Amino acid sequence: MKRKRMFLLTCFLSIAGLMFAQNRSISGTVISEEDGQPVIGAYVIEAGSSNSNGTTTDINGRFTLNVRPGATLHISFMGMETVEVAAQNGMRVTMKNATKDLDEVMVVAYGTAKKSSFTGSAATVDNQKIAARPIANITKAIDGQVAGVQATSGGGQPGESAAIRIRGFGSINASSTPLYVVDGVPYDGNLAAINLAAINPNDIESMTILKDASAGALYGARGANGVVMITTKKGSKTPNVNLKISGGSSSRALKRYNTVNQKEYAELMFEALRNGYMFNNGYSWEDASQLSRQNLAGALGGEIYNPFKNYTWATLIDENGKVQADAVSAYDENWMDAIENKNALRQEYQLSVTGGSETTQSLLSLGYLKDEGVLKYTDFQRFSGRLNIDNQAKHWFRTGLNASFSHTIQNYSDYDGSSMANVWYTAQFLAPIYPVYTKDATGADILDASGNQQLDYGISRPQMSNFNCIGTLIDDKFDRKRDNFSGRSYITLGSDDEKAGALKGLKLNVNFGVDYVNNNQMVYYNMYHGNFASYGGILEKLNNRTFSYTFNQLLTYNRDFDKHSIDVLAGHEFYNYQFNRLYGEKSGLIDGIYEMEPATTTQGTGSYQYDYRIESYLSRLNYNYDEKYYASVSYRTDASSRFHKDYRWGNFWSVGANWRISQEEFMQDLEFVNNLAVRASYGSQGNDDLGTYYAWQSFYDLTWPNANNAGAIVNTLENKELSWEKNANLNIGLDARLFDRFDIGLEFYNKLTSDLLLSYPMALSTGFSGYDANVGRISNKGFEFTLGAQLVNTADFKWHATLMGSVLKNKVLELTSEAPELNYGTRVVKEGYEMYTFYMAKSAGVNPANGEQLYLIYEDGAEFFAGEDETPYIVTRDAQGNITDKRVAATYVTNDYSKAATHKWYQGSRIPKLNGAFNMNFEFLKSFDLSVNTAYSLGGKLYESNYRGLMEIQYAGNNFSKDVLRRWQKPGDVTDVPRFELNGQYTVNDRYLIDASYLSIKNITLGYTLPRRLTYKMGMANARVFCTADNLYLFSHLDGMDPQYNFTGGTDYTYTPTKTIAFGLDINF
Amino acid sequence: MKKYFAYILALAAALNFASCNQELLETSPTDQASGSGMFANANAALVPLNGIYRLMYTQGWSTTDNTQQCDGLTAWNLCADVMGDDCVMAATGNGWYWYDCIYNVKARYTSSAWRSYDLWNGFYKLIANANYIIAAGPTMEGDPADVNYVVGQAYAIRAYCYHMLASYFSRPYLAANPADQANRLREKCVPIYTEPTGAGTPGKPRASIAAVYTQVRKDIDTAVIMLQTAPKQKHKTHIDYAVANGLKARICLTTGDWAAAETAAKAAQTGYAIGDAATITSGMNSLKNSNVMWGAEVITDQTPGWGPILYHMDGLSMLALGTQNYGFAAPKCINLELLAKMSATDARQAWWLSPADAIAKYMAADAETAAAFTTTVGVNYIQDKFRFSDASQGLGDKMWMRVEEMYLTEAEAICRQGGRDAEAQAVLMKVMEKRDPAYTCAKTGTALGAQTNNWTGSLLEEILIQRRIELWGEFGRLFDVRRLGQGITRTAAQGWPTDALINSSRDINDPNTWAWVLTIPQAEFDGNASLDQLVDQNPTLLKGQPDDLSAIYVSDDAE
Repeated sequence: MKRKRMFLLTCFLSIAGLMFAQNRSISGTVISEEDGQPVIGAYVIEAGSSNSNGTTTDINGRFTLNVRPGATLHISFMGMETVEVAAQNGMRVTMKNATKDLDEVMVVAYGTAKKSSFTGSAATVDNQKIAARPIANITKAIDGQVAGVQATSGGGQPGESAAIRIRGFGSINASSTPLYVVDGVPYDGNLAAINLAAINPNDIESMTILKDASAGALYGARGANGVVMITTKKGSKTPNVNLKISGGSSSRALKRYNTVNQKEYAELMFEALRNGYMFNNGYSWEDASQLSRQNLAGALGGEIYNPFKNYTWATLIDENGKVQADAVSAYDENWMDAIENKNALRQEYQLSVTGGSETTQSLLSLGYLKDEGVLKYTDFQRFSGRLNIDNQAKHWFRTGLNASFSHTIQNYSDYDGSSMANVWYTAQFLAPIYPVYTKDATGADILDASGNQQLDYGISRPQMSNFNCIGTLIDDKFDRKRDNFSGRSYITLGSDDEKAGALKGLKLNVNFGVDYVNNNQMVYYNMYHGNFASYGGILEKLNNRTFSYTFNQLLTYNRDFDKHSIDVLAGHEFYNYQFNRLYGEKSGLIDGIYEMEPATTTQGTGSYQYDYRIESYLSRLNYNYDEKYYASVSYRTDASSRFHKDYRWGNFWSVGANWRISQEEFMQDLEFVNNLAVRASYGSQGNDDLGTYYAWQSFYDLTWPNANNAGAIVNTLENKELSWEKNANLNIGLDARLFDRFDIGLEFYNKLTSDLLLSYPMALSTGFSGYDANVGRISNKGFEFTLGAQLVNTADFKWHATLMGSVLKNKVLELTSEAPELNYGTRVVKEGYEMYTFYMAKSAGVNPANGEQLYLIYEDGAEFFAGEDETPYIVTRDAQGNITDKRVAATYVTNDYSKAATHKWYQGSRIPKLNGAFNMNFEFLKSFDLSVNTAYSLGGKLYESNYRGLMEIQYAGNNFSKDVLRRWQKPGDVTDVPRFELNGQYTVNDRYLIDASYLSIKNITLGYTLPRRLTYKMGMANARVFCTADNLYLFSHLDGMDPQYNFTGGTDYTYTPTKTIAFGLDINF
Repeated sequence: MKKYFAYILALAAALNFASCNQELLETSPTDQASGSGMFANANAALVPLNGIYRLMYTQGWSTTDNTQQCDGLTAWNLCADVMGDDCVMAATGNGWYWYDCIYNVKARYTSSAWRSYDLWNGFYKLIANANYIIAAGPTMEGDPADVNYVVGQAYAIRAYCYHMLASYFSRPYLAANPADQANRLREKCVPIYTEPTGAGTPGKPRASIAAVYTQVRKDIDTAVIMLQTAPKQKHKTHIDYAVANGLKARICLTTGDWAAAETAAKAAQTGYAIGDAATITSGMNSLKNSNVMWGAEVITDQTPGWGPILYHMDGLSMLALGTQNYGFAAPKCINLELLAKMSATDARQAWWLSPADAIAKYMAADAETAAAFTTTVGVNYIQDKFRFSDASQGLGDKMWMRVEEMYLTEAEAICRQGGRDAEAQAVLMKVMEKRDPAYTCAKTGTALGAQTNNWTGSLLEEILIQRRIELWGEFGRLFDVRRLGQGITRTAAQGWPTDALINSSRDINDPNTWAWVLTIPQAEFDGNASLDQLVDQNPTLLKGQPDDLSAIYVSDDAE
């Protein structure tokens, strides 16, 4: 036995020796087709060699290699098309630049598809457009890249996500967020957009946005809002080491709101008090002025807050209501300056290594990011690692694992809205007379023993008294530490190899994907000041664990028969989501210890779990005849645990076709047509994401104990019939490429959402504002275009431009018979109108006699008709409700704010008339590359409540907009800003509806690729330095306003968006 | 060739394409329970009953914002206090309760953050929860006495809620001018629901004041009868026989049923003792005191994180912790004119501190705080009646009914019936002998001034003066003003700051005023097809009468 083995080994070695003996050395040169220059550092590998026999080209493009006779060489270089050529001594190999492949392969639902053969609507954002951006969360890279997608700014908190809407707004109470799918598996349910910060954007190969039913129906119950498919980079057998380092800094992207200075503020406050006494308490001008001077000190917190130390508050304002000309301010401190991190640094390091063999491809990627926020004490850090291995052990057996782990740490500010501790409210809008740091009677700083300035906690300050929001910003701590694990594994049995014979093309794929997020959150309120000082501080710890997996078994069959090609898929899938929360809260803390152990008093503890499961069967058939005619049909049925068992299963399907006209005989003479195709698809998708996982059931909420007695209150009403929201989706598209230079993509879609998951309104007096039901229909119709042109294409200068845009017509078709209008404060959802149409009083200017706000109202009982928003009608109806007479209602002007509140007008919505992007890419002298990415939005309005807060002051101590300086001051003044009062009574009106149009320079990136001769000497294959500016500038109608704050057209006191300028180095070895 | 095909088939079979276990799709939350099991027996039904009481002292659940001033019953009472004449807010502070105080909330009915929504949503949510218990009564298992204990309380809760809704959303039951009484009772009040709410239960129209009080009487009488045979109070939040009678007494005062008020008030007194001076000056924060009939026990992990109600009342005792709270920034003070009615020997003098006394007691060592306090409080006497039991934990029980109120109610009810002044004086003395050793009362008669500060010297007025002092800051002074047919005149001399002198812009000196009637929240109109906003909304005009009052009358009221 042993001898036999020895014999075999000896034979083997002899044969190997023979083989080596027969090898011969060849040499050759590799040159670039474009410029005839040598390609330096290209990989030259003998194909099929057991020991990866290979070398790289030298500075002259030359290589020498020992090869077997008749060997084939495999020559590759980044950015160029791989060449396979027979080995010959003295050979000269020409490599072409890799051009954008017309037939690029896209990742789509449960597989891939060639773009030309695809029957649905999808767009791809490739790695280059993502990797260039200095962003922490990839959702921020989508805006301005794909027609038909709208995005929010997402705010400036490092790590936060932007929200995405694909093709309009179809849901009211159900989620409108697209489904995020990472490497073929839905990512973490509805929390996906947040958790995407766990993914290193550098690891992403591409994102595909699935927009229509043909593309997305295979995601069934969760596909109605479109799908964002994120594909991470794959391993490769070519050895490569990539190192990327970048650093930069962030600052505010938006200007600040324009607010008044100290003098203007004092004058306005004097005037506000005087007007109050005159118009509300009936004093004469003189008496009111007198009283106002007298009470100014009281209203503003006493002389300590009078920055003009050479006057008292009572003497500061002269006869004309102006600050005395010789008044001198002792200090002028800006709270926003005090909270801004002027030097918010960003640093990112990224190492990725690929390599492998014929059978195994691998990728290893490591990354570190630290991104500081423009608000002090906020930042985001990510440590990420990814390992991806694919192994084709046998021609019929393939397996792989893609595992990523990341740890993120986010320090954030937990305060929002008009809470005093929210610096985006208080520091942003505190009156300029209030110093950040304590001042003595002369206005000089009161320093502590160490000579430091001390924060002013303002006992008598009328706004934020005994409080300093900067103090809470410094001393309160909020952080989230997330551990994220994502694993995607698969086993494929079956083969495309001829060896499989009749079974060629039949495969079984078993996929298991898991996402695990462990979020440790800390909320710490300090013990020295602020809301919990009296408690000795409060510490809350939350542990949220999210665990989800998708397990599917897919049988596929893919085969060509002559000119017919078919691709069949059938499978089963199970999705399981589990969320666990555990939290505790204690007070009476020990300084410097951010743990509950030493704290004295328990304030609360609790835990709970949510479960959500979906079971599905899915199938698809793709057919292709001669690369000319394509058809696809898909069907999926889902059962969601959110619904009652009798209403749980939903059916989702699509049909689609694509005709590549340019492949027809009759088109062959038209050489300038490189490609021409028309596509059409129709199908139905679903949406079950109602926020709650237990939508249909009636529940008592058990979290209402009465002291030590268990207590519960009724929470929801039962509705067994609750089921899917459905989305019927028609798409017609045209793709063309002409003169090998121009790309045209046109698409029309018509989406009809029906059986909306809606809170069916009930009278509040029934104890419920509504119950969940399937009611109503909403239509979204739209047109999208993407026009690309290679304007210049010479060796030394290339210029490519892309213009895209989309037009959306949104209309609420039907709600309920009882409630054809749903009210959301300043917005309504009303039949016949766009979703979230502004519904509010109409300003009729200001009464020149007394400065009152005037309103335009109409006759009582007037009605509006969809499409004629501006015209109220008086309608007469007969007994059957048919209109017998209709006349335009009279309108008149009134000062009665309560009448104005019941005579509101429909005034448009946030939805833009046209939005899109304009992007350009340049290349100069083969070394420089420049890309400019802009996004635009035309039309639509937003309700600027922040601005309103600066125009209609509620509290003495709040700052005013500069626009208040236009106010009415004395009889005869003609202006649009009413007389100034504290706490004036106004009905919300269209003065604060601002045109939401904007042009945003999203990104400019300039890169320089070092000459290959130089990089070769340095031992590098390729090196590029770049500078990138993200969120560079925004043109809008009002300084300070974020027109991309949300989709319904509002603003709030939130973290301002940031711009980032970064420099980087990208090296391949 | 075929071998791997066999593998495929084998694996496919193993994975079993057939359905997974369908039970996996039946999921339920862990922090909620299905409604059906809640009412099986009287013991189980205590859980939803306790839930209702918890709502009554939880901050913010009834509103979407401004949560600090929406603290349940105590907040709703304080709101009626600051709208009245006796609870002076010396400064704006950060605005909590201030807008109630200056009558600047009616126009905010479209918002779910303000008083209209808070009150409407709050009381109707309590009613809906009570309706489930009442409906389950006939099938509820257990000892009949235990069933009565649960269901009787639900009836009392419902009676109380409709009574409070009427007090906020319609004009007073008793018209100031008896000639208007018939019309007054026909005015629109609030929708009545007595059945459990299900998905799609339609909204009801506004019922008349008469119809609402018919329901209130029916419910409170049922409650009293059921609770008479029920076990004794298991927790201070629970409405037992005495508390139900106390609520009935309040209702009867509102409707002018003096004899019934007398009977109920007497019945309510059983088992409780009027607090002595030491008891009432200890901070009014303990349910253990023998004068407390009904209240909420606030335990550490159930205090709201932000600003419990005492944070808004008790501006002083927190100073020891180095904290100036909202009660400091917007001090609650007593009407100086009312304060002057109290004798120097009255133990209740300790409930209010002069600026100097407040500084001496709480700010002696802190000149800076004292200076700020002086600026804010001015000449006013800040309250020291309600104090935290443990300021560092935001602790302090809430008092919803004290037995003193029952004696004062009995005295008033007797006095109102005429010819029994001596009896009324005697009942009044039962309270006053514990308050003021020097107190005597020989006043007679029932004359009241047109305004609450027009003094007549009658016995009824004297009883009311003592009631105003005794129940300051806890009962909701406006509820009394409304039933007395008097108007309010706020003056600077009473201590009101300039901005709260709203007599010129709000006609609160007219007992028929609409200023005391809140607007119905927009959310009700949005979901109630039985209401027409143009017809059913309460007048929003604050000064003067609306042009056309026809809309506010129920045209043909069957009840």
